Amino acid sequence: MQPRFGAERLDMRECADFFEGALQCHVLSIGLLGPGLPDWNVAQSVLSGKHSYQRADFEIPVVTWLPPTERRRVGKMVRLALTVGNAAVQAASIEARQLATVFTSSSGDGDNCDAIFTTLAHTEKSERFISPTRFHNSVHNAPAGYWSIANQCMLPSTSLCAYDSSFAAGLVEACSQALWSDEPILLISSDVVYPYPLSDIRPIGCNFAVAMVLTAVATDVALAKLTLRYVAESETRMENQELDEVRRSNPSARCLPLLQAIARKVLHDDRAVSDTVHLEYVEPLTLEVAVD
Amino acid sequence: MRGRAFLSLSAFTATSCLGNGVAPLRSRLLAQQGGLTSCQFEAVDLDTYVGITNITDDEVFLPAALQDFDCRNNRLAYLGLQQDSFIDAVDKAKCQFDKHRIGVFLGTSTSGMLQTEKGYLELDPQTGALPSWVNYRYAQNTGSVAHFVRLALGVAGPAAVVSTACSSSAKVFAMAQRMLLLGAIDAAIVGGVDSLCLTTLYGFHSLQLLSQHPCKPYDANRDGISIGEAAVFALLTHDDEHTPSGSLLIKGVGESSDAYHMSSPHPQGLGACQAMRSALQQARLAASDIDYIHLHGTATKNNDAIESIAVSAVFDDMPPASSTKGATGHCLGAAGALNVVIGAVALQQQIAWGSIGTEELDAALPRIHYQVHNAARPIRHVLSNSLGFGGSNCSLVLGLKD
Repeated sequence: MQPRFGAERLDMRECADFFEGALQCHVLSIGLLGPGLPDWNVAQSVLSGKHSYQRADFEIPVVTWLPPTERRRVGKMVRLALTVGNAAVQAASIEARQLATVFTSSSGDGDNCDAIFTTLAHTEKSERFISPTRFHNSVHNAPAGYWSIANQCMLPSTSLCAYDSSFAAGLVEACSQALWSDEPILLISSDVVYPYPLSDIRPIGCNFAVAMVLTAVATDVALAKLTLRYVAESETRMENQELDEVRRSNPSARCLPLLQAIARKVLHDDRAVSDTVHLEYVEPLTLEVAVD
Repeated sequence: MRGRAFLSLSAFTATSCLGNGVAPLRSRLLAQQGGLTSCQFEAVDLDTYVGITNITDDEVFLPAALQDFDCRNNRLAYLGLQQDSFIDAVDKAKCQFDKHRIGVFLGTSTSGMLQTEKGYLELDPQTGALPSWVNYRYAQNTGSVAHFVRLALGVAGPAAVVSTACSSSAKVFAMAQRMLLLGAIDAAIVGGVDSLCLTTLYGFHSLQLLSQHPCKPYDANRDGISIGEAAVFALLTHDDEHTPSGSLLIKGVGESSDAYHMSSPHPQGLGACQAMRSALQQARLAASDIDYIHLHGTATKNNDAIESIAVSAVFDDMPPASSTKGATGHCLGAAGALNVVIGAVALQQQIAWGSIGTEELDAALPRIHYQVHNAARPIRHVLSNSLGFGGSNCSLVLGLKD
């Protein structure tokens, strides 16, 4: 269903210069988990065109490093977010407890949501009992809570949602925090498949999550420098149809054009290579990311 | 270390069970009259009190162009936007700044979840499918309210929802502050909208945190929260030479994580301490510069005990402190922004608020200067606390422009 909020079009002249202060940060590391993209190393060679893409479903791993009490309580959403977060942190060789975090997700935990709604649909009061664990897992910041507990990280953490623009919204927030604090920051974006009947009203085609450690300070070990601006351009699509299908079917996978630009830059090992991608952002804007 | 991080709180509005807009909120707080009532919400069969707003059940409430967004949370947002000439203030900002450089950052925990909860009551008996009137994107999705408010106000800059449970709409002030001071935007609409639904009522009930009475913050007999709903908005701009003397300012924001437990605060309140200290540090103030602490004060045994431990660790000389949850209920995702607005009204009135609902102060709590009755006193700075599930904490310092 499309909203009927009129046909307001963006006048390019009117806002050609509307983002004077571009946000800039450096990518120290990337973690990811998606269909046929089991980690950043494989993803790099697939996205840069070195190897062909073969879609494959995957199991979301158990988070063995969570304390046992918490490990028992977490569902797919938390496991997926924590897994990619950990991969990014390991690759950056920074202690997780030294990183503030930005979590972003369009979907949250659909399984938990479905279980709560099913329980609440009972007519008898005695049957409307939600378990305390289900309830505290229902908050959008559940992955952030478990992450901070597991890593003993007391630094600030936020949890965002902007429907299909959630990845771009998270990237903007993480970049602004990195600039503001002059400290590295961890961005985690994750979305999981919804169970039926929620899947009817929110079809998400696959599980996908990505994490990045970002810093405002230039360093030799950075994979790439990102310059963010919000503009009115059409979104960058993936040339590979299958990968574009992944991009479109999971809000967190909207990052794929950016990951591809970074992968090309890293694997060609050519510092002069630069690329610009446009990611889905809040209408009528797209987030322009220049990758240098 | 960055320079001054002050923002001008150019306009604000709050709609809660105390009434639509700031005027009834102000007069009822001055008269020490709360707004909690016995829960008659939907088919809820819980023995509790709620802070309910007067959202209309009329068939049509939202403008035709925004009808797809129709749900309790967005109706509440729309009702809130109509108050205190807030739309006029935003229109002025739109004349002054490019609408693409005005951000919208809102907090919510419930979003339009009530609609989907109702949908589950009417699943198709054959297929188990949801009825066609359940709209995920424009109602249930956590991001819906920011999308809705952005369209309703006709602004087109960056936008996102922060959803960190009960600290959500405090943290949006920090988000806007960074974006403004980094030059990524010129103005921000921040706030929080949270509405009654079954998940929060039955959820807090399952945690045995729901009081059967109007909640009694810091009372010896406190036994849990009363859930409220609210729509709170603020327009934030740079504090510069054009900001008139006496204007309300956001002087500092501090954020932290407990890293302790999903639904219990850190036993020594370390996270809360860190948030308060960071806010003071950013405001470049000492604890002794705070004249009133607007506490989170949810009236659960644990929250009030831990928050008072944290306050007594940060402050040597105790300024008056109180919670106003007994007046408004705990508005969850809107609680942080509501706390800020009530703190701003304290600055305007030069009154440290009393604690509606509190009868007998809990003598077992660490000694803070908890205030049960309103007290007129000079107030230059207010500290406002918000502490949430998942161990998410945020404190703000408000002040007046010299």
